[in-house]
Amino acid sequence: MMVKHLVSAMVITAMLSCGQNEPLTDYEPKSPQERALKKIMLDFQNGVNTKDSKKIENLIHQNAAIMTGRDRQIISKADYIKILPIRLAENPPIALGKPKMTVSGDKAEVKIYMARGDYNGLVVFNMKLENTRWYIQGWKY
Amino acid sequence: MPTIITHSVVAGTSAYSFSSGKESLKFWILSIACSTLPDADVIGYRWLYIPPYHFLGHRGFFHSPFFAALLSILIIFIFYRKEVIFSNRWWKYVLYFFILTASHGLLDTLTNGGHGIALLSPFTNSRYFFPWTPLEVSPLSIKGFLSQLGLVVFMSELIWIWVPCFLIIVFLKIKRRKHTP
Repeated sequence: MMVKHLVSAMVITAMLSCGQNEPLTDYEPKSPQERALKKIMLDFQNGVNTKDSKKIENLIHQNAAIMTGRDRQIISKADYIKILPIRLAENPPIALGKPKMTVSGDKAEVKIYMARGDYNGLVVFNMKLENTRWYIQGWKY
Repeated sequence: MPTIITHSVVAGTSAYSFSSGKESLKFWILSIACSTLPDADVIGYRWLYIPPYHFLGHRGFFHSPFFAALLSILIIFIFYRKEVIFSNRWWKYVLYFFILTASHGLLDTLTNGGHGIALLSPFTNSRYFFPWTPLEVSPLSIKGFLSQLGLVVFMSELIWIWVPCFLIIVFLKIKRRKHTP
């Protein structure tokens, strides 16, 4: 009886772990804003994977508040730019999953699953529209 | 979090301490369920886009003693209907399942990573750790758990939880044997 329950629990867990991440590239945007936001996220993914810190820097808003490290410290864009090349060199590539986007005027929230090495977690990006261009204003995880 | 296996070890030890060998299989299964159920909030994090810092996020409300109290009372009403309400035995079960469920959040406060635990939820969503965090935080994915990190996590849990639990069981076994006529 106990073994039967244990096996069932293991099977359910294994099933839930499979097929979790559809890639961001497969996501069909529902509006022009979502299309623009998807492009920002794809550029971000590309910037991280090609270790192009300049590309990432261009995506981030001047007054951004960015969460970093295991201790989840919030730092400014200026401070983040200083540590970015080291972080890109140290960390493995990322794969962004299917996002959930909420657009409200000139602000948007993009909830997205990020896989990086053994890590696979939810990251919430806050975006800001400025001069017809979307910028990353911060992220939390 | 410590791994679900380790939470189950705590449940097994608690059940053994409480039961004196007279409890049913239902009691043992409920013990394991109570100590592992708070981590069901991982479903929200992994599949429902609920960030960990949200009220219902991982290590949020479901890890609080308040939830533990609700769950323990619910369990008694569903699975121990024959117990007389507010009798000594009824309170004993409520307290037992409460402590077991609350132990999950408290053990998580001993881990060295992730978000803190919302111990005072639903009154505040502030997250807490103990000042001393000897337990390596367990990865949430199975892939992560089967990596090198999984071994490090297992070793820290072995030292800080499995060994003390084993010693408690040995101690109780010796004590009970002494009292057996």
